Amino acid sequence: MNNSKNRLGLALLAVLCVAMVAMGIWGFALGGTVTLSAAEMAAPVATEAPVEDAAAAIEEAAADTAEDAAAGEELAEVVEDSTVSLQESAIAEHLAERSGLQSFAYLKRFPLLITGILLGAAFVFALMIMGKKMRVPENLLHSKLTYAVVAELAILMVCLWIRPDFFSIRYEPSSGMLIGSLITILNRSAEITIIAMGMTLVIALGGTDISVGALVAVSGALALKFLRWDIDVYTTPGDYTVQPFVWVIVVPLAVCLLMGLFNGTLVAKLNIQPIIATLILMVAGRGIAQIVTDGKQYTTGYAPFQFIGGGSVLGMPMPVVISIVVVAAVALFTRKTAFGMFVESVGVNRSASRVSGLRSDRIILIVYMLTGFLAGISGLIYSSRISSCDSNNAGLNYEMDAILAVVIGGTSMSGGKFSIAGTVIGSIIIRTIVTFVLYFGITSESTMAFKAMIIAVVIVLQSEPVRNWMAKRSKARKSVVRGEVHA
Amino acid sequence: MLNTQPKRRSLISRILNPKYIMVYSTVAVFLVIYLVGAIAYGDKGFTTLRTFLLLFTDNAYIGISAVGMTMVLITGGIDLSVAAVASLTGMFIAYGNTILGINPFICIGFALIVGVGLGLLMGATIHYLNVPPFITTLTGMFLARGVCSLISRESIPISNEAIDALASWKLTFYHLVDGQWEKIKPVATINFSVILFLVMIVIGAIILQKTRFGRNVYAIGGNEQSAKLMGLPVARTKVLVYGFNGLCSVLAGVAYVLYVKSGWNLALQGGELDVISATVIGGTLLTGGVGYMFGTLCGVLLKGTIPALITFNGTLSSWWGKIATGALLLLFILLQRAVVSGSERKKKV
Repeated sequence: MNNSKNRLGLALLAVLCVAMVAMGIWGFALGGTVTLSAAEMAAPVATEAPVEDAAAAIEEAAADTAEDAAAGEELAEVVEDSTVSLQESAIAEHLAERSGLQSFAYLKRFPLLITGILLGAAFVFALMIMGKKMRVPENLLHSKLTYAVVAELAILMVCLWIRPDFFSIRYEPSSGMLIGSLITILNRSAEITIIAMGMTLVIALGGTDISVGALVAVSGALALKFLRWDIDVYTTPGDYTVQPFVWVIVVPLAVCLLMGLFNGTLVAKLNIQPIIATLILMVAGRGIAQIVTDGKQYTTGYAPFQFIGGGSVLGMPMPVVISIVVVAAVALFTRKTAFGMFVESVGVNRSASRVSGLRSDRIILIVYMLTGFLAGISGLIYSSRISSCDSNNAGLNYEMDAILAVVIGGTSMSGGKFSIAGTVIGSIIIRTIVTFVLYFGITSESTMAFKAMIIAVVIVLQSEPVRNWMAKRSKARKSVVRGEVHA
Repeated sequence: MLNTQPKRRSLISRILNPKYIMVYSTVAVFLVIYLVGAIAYGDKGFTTLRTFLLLFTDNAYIGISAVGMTMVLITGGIDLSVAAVASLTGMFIAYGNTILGINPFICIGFALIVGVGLGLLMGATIHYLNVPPFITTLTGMFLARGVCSLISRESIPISNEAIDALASWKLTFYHLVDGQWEKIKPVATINFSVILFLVMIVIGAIILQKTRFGRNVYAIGGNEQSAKLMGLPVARTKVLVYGFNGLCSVLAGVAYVLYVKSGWNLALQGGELDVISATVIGGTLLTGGVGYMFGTLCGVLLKGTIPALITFNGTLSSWWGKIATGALLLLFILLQRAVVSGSERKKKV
């Protein structure tokens, strides 16, 4: 049972990856990337070459792809109309084209979208027929994760429909990094993914840790404090660190570990409800962070520290690498040892686990400490990204995002079974929504409304009655929801 | 016929009922902190009636929201959307009145419909779809904040005669000096928000203590399964509690608008935590089943005393307030723990 769910999670994660790559290839085939690069080439040309050449270049660029010919014509018209404001209008047109929603080219791709949906449906159908012998559909339709993956694929489909070049990935030799929306999604979701790893275990224990956002702030504040101890003397940030770099990394992590220990002690030893126990540090944490930095905004230019959030390894941004390492470590720790099973057992029934010989208290302590530690790592990444610390806004709402990621990933908030792969998918979904909104030029402030709507749909799809109804419709043999404790 | 009616106890033994111990400890800690303030800053005017009433004025919007939150927490749920809904109310009033020129009271009515509607919707989702309250109301919070930002990204000032009149209306306290009624010095006043706050506390207390609905709320918090088996209307009660909380959030938003006279999409960010911590300090258990409106009132005042003390001190930075609030929370949680384990031991004996 446990194993089959793990395999299902991994399989769905693999399906998601394959689908993203396939969509990328398809987006490439649709010509999105070509259009964009041609237009990008045209824009700088327009700033240098004579007017006729620019017009020719633009026309040529547009003619390359039959699809966006209309956009090209518009550009050409602009060129004929005015010569003086050519640069501005060409760039403006280019920007409008980039923001995607203004030019209605995507309407022309509607038949392609239908084809894509039909292909996708056929793929799922084939999978179900193939899986029927292995009794996969039963599991598949009962799993919350399935609906999460379907939702993510739906969002990506809309992206593909509106802008095929959403999936383009370029290599930037100057920074040695891969650049593209998919990479951005992975990169920016790193903090939440890392925190959500700890949160998955906490929620599997039947608890919640709402102090992680504040711990992110504490970690960042401590790191910057050690880097810029001399802020009162030298105000300009330079490429140096006052205290040894090891301290900059170790002290914040150690403090966050201790704060996790504090949370864990309250929950495990004093039997305090987890939300309340962690509420204390959530309220006090930001105050502590501000006291560490004395309410100041520290900034730094120390390259090794900036590497944590801005560097790259083999083209992959460093945060992605760190999050992959963390996910792998947590997955190995919980699945290759008995620890994951212990956590699930304590989550289902704490006193029964204790009676059957598990040290429930110790397991709870370890999990909360791990969560604090991971929040510390996340805080280092965040503060390295912005090269400064921000006690008020660092990690704001991270606890909410992390809990959402875990729940969308199919882990029940009442404790018990958990899914690491599911949490990764959940975290990616949350970031995809944000990136989607930002990429299409919708005001970033309305991100939350979009997030709420999409998450509402996912949650309703995942809710017990709806899943039961779907499963009944698919003539599943068992009407009991699997993997649920109290079903 | 068996007489199941318990013996009517004397007033004193009813007041000293051990079930009120959390409320009493809140009152005790409030008195201690107030005393500390009085000793340290008595000469600066900490003990005046004005300072005491300012505690109400400055925390009215938190208090109004805490009334609904108390009820939600007693059912064993939680509502994270309160601050966002209050902020949304502010946006409705500000945008509706300043930009569209609609009567602010129509805006408030619209906000009431939206707020209560959202509350009922969340309650229904929690009960019928079995989605955890934390997640449901979190989504509600994102939605309300998102709509706030969709309306406007900038702070919108409100300049309306009716709103101004309501905001500046004050009830001044007089006292008798040599047979003459004179204003208390320094002038002690309460405004409309404070009255709204106190009225909501009284209404909340009456609902909880004197109505069948209130008993159902406690029963659901005690044990939802038993309440269902007893034939109590669990679904209706739960949905209505979230609806009532929506109402309180909107009224809190109105009080906040009267306080700052503008609408801002990021107003009251993190306010839901202030409300929850005030309620918890007031003795309401997050596990459900225990909580009193009077305790919530004391919790709001106690939480409001800390920033007041820091202001009076003048040298402490405001972030000490956060740490002090965290320490207070810890104190009360440990106290609750001790009380609960004590009563459990008593039951076993």
